[in-house]
Amino acid sequence: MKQYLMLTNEELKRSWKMIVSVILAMASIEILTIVGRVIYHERQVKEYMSYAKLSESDAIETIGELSFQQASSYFSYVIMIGIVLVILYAIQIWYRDWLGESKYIYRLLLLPGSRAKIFFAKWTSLALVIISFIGLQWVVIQLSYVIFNWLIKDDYRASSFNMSMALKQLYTMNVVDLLLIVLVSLFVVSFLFMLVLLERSYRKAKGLIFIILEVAFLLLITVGNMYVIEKLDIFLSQEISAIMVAIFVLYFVYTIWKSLRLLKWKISV
Amino acid sequence: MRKFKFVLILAVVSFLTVGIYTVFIQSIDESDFTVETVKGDPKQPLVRSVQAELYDQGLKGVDYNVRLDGHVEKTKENLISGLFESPYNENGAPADFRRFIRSDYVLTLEQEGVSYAIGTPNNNKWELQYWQGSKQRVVKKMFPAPAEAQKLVETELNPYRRIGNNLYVSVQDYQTNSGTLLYKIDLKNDTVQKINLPYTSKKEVMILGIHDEMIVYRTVEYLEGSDESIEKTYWSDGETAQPLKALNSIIANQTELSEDGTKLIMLEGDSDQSSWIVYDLASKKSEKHSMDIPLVTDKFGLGSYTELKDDLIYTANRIDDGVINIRIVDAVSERVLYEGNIKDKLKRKETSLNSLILN
Repeated sequence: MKQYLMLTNEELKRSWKMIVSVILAMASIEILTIVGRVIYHERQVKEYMSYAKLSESDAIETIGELSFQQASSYFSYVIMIGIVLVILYAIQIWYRDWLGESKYIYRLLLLPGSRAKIFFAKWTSLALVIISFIGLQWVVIQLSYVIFNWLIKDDYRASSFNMSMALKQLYTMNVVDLLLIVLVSLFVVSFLFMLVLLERSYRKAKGLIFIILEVAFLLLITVGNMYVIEKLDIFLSQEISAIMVAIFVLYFVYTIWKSLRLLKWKISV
Repeated sequence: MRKFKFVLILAVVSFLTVGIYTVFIQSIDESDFTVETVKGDPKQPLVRSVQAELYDQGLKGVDYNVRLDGHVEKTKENLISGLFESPYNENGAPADFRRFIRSDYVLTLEQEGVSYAIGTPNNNKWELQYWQGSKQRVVKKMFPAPAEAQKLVETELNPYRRIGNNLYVSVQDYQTNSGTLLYKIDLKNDTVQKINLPYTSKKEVMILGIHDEMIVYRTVEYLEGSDESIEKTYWSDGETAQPLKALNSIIANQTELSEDGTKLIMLEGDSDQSSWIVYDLASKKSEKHSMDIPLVTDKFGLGSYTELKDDLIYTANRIDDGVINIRIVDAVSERVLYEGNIKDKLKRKETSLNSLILN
């Protein structure tokens, strides 16, 4: 356990600067977009007032008040970038061990005890990064809302706190949904880990073929099951949901099992 | 501890930030409803069967079912529960029945707590199943299809209503457009009897009401090469049919035959849902009735719902922020049997009316 925690710590330590930089950059961009939107909206109202020779209230009525929902509409793009970066990190966390000058992977593989702890150290690092990312993003949203209220004049502001549809998909105001989002993210991470380990196990063309086969297998079981379910037409919607959830759980377990097997039997020093 | 510094930092950050999110979720206001009775007894059976379905469109999507005795049922959906939710008419029903009603050829009817489902897998037999929630049992019956119905290509059986021991079913074939047939299924003696409807050939037929073998129905004929249609209403005893010409010009949202079979009650169009017409079949005279409801029309929507059922008009209207006015009115006498206001103590504008559920 201690070795596993130390490995996890090591993984995070090696990426720490990158993680902190990305989080700070994302938060800065989001806060800047809020400031920018408020300034732009105010300027729009002022320009319209002088152009149409209207009072401030008439100009606001024509242009419309600015809501936090509108001001934070760019947040979803920043979050998308964050998701892409997490995906890249899930790949980089393995490849950096091979591609670095010191070939860190050899030190890891030669460690006494089970190799599973190498896998789970990386997996836990990703889990912590994902949960922190979701939590910190929420704090940034709240902070942006405070800045938004502080910056904008009362007459220019519309309604109370609300978020764009895209943000509402991530923050559904339900803790169970949050757990599910984290679970699906970890499934994606596990799947990527498996693909990376396949490539590292067989290398080059053979590795690529195995990756294609694995992706094809995933497509086959999802599309195939949906096709069979539709053709049979005997299942109730709840039964279909249960089947799909069961396939998801089984495949999730399979990706971890396969990765551990590859790490144990196929990857050699 | 220093050995796990980075793990600890991220674990604490995760715990704290997710904690902030959880605290925020807990702090979101939720509507708190009370029901204020203006008129009538909220404990009388016809009032007790009414539930207002409200939806909070705010950050937390919450569904409320508010009974007029003040009982509130709150449902918060999440992604998992959404996957495993059953439609309300299937609640508690056995899997076999639920499987039957989701067949492409089966149509259903909800009446007095019983779900009737009927369909024909092939044109030779009719399959009827009904689920009695109160008795927790499913009744299954199979009937040989009547001779006329066997000639149809793509038969759709539509259960209209159960009156006494008889279930009335209209039969249509959209592929051949051969007109509507009406049948009476005797649930006690397990027989199927055809009911003659004059003036139906190649027309769409809507049954408006049945009473003592007298049927009021409307035919709709679409004009070729035009979007327009001609609607005619008839009153038939199965042998002859009288056209009710005075009704041709009335645009009604919902039309029903009164319980005693002497009047037709018609809820008027979309723009003014609080008015209705009572047409006396014997004297052929109509009376116009209306109700004055101070509706609110702002950006949060009209919030209005009206339904006609068993000679009663059930209305629900948003009359102020967080206030929904419910009325149950006798359509014939215009007497208000019940009036109450569902009030949200927090006056949340985001909570809106979906519909009324009449069990």
